[in-house]
Amino acid sequence: MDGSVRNALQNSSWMGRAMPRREDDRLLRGQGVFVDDLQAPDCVFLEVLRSPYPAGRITALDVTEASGMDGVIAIYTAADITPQADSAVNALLPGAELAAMEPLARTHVRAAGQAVAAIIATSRDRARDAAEAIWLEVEGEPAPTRARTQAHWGQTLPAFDNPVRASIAHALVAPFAMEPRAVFAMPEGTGLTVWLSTQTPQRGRDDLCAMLGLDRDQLRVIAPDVGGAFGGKASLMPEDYLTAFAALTLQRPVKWAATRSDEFLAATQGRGASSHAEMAVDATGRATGLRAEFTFPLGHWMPYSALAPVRNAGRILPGPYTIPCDVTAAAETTEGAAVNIYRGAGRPEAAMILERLMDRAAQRLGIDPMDMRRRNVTTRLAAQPDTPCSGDFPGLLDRLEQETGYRALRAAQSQRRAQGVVCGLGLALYVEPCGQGLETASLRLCEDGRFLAITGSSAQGQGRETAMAQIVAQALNLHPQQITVSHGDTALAPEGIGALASRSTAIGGAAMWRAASGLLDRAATLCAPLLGCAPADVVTSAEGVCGGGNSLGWADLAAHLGADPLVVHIRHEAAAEAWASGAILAEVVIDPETGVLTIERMTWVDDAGIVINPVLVQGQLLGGAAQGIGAATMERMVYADGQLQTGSLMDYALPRATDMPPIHLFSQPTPSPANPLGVKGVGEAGCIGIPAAILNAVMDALPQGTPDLTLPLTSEKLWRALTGSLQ
Amino acid sequence: MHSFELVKPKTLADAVAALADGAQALSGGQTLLPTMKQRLADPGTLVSLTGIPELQGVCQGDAGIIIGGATPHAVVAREAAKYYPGLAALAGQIGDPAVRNRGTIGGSIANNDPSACYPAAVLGSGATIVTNTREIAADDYFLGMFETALEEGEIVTAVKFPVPQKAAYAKFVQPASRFALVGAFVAQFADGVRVAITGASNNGVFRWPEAEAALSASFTPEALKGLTLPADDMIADLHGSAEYRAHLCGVMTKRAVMAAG
Ligand SMILES: Cc1cc2nc3c(=O)[nH]c(=O)nc-3n(C[C@H](O)[C@H](O)[C@H](O)COP(=O)(O)OP(=O)(O)OC[C@H]3O[C@@H](n4cnc5c(N)ncnc54)[C@H](O)[C@@H]3O)c2cc1C
Repeated sequence: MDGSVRNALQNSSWMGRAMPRREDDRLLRGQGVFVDDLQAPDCVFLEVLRSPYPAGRITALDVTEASGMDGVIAIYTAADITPQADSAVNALLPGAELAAMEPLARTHVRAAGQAVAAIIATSRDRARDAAEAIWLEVEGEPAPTRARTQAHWGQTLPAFDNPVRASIAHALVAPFAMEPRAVFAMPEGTGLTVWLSTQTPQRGRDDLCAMLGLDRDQLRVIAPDVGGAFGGKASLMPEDYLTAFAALTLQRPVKWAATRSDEFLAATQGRGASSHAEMAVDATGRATGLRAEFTFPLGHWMPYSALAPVRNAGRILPGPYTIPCDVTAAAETTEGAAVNIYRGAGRPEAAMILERLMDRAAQRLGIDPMDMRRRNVTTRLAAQPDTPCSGDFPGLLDRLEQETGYRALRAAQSQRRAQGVVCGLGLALYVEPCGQGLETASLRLCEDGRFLAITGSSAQGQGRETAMAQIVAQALNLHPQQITVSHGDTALAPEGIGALASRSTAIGGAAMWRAASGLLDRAATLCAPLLGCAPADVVTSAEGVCGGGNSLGWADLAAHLGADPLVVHIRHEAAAEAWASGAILAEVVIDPETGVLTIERMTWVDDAGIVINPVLVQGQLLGGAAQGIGAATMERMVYADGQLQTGSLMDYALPRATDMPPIHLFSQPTPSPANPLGVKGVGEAGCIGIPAAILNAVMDALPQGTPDLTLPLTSEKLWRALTGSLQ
Repeated sequence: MHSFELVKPKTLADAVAALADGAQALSGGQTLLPTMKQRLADPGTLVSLTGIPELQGVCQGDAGIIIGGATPHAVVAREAAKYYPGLAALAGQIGDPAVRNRGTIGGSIANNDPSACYPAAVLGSGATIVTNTREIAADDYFLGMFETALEEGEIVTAVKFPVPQKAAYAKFVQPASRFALVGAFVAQFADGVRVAITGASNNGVFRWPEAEAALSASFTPEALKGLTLPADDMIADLHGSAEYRAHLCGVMTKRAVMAAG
């Protein structure tokens, strides 16, 4: 931080303010513009014929009748499309086998729901009519494994003497954005403009370019308003390619929008891993070794980030503790929709198994779970790969103990149990690494004296524009209203990563901060001679610059600079990874007659680093908590004989507002040394810590010796656990 | 959705005539329209029943209350409360506000979803289903999952409910759809108690004679002690096994008795 930024910081306090989200007025009035809202006069519509059959060999695929139907413009099968490259897969693990996307099934269907043909027609209904007229026959054959991967972290540890053990089977779940996926491709010059409901516009552009054989400057991707993503809109999907291919081939605008059924059948899923772990503990409650094995299902193909959950689960153990680790994670393709990153992406799996082991060890030794954790938390914080950059884990536990009245709760629990109440307390201490790599930012003083801030981080409802404006306002001592924030358009931000991995504030925000600092320095240098003062004496404010008793308005400065405007581009490479953390206590009761679980209260102390806007942080924590509660208690994708049993909200249980327990949030930040703002991520915290706390609370409520339960914790399972009739 | 014709008759007679040519009745559309959107139903012509005044409303009759066949759940929840609170409370627990403002009693019992709530109240109250051609006792009306005594083109015009001394519905919601995984309706009349269970059986809504006898002798939760239903004919799906449903039948019946007070 240079001198001038420090001056500005002293004068403004936009960072840390609970400002309302600038996005909300528009979004709440229904004035958002999502991909499917976009129109073009000669637009045609793409629909996908999905295999109703599970894996097998295609013995008949006849589109003759469908091709002649009213309004049908083209029908593509695998033979008609010409991808110029395999879809990209991020080979995050050494030696990983990869299974790229097949935009349309070739000789074999690999899973029910896989796209077999793409129909382009003048209306959606006509396209659907035609899809129904396509003749498809599939002869059932077991799906071969397309790719396998295995990786190891830590050291090979010898066999443990009488360790505690735990196993967890995570259900597959749906990322379930409110806005289903959508893509609208429009021919533009020799290439395309593609509006994509995505969290990674630049990756979408690069992957589409490769598959279409276009250069980067021939393809522009725009993410307009995006109604949630959660990892489900991070990687290029078959429909994205098919729609772009159709627009390029037919030279007219083509649109595809998923129905909810499409999403259930063919969008990516999350979780699904199973884990087995054992931990050695000494008599004093020190954990002396941790061995964990994860197995991840990948579905029938691998989207770009398919291996990220595997890598995250492996690399973040032992989380907030100091324990020698021996971790293996394996992954392989399976029959079913592709499994990819979903809010948390491997972190929840690591946190849950670790937190179960802590409770098992506490129980074995007769130590309180809170104390068990205290004996094992790490104080060895370092900005080195795969270890927490900062955090005060004992402090989180102390605060949680104090805010919940934990000792009194434990005492009350004994009394309630004596009265026949089935109740439990569950702790979770978790870490949330918040991403590595680069992000871009640019900041410009516009002719009218306003500022345009362009971030490479995209937005899907997090309130990114609000936060970025606060960062710039803080650095330049402006009012946030003076700053327009733009994102999601590769023409404006050709380089960037997007919104993933809880990284946008820590990395994207840091990039924007540096852009603002750079702009301030340039303004000082440029204005010092104009104002008649030293550069160090130039002060910025909402009105403009002043120094030496003189002042110049922002618009005047812009006019003065003319064709050589004040603009700074930053390509910020994060020096280290920021790690957020938190401690959660869940209080639950189980109805002994029905097994119904009620979460009476959640108390959550979080360390998201320096908070830029508490409103946004709370939104992220609570939204993540809802999804965490869903994964722990009700959400699951179920296949039987290759067929999806949970193809609609009639069978896929999502939490609703009434399922949200009272959640008490307490912020206890420690600044992150990984970036100049001291910020960390917060987007995934709820999915990481909440399910672990709920599982621990449930196991605490159930009789001792209850075997490990699979997720989700349905009422029937809990009833069976209570009646000793688990299957 | 496939395209279709929509007829909006103003009288029952016109509706009956319009249905004569193989058209399908449309009431609140809360079941039929989603089915059509998924292209699982393709009726060429729909005859809307919601614009016919004689099919609307809740009123008091000689032997109880009469609810027009196209009366939305929200109206029943509001207007039946003073006559038959147990029934009104059941209607108020169906779906969400949007579903209750559109969905109707006639549509619900014509459809006879094995997990629907109304069939429990209709059977549990010993109600009478009035159609454009006849009156059908509830005991003769529900013939199994999605099966009823209705003939092709027959319209449920009203349901007549005798009003019990006490009644309540206890619903255990299926976590996804929030329909009844198991729902128990109990009604105490001067001449005995009726118990109807929905959500549980492969044969749709059913009465539980043993519970009725026990509760007729003593309308208390304790009276149900030791009574169980066999799991044999119970629905088993990803939301609950047959044994769990059988168990819940007992629990929900007990809770309905407690709620009826
Ligand atoms: C999200 C959601 C949640 C729901 N939750 C519940 C719940 O918790 N409990 C519950 O019980 N129900 C629930 N429902 C069902 C809903 O309450 C309706 O009762 C049901 O969908 C049918 O009523 P309808 O008026 O919408 O009928 P429609 O959908 O219009 O018609 C259904 C069928 O009945 C026929 N029909 C309609 N009216 C008549 C008539 N008068 N005479 C003869 N045939 C007729 C139609 O031809 C059609 O075959 C839910 C529905 C939705 C969409």
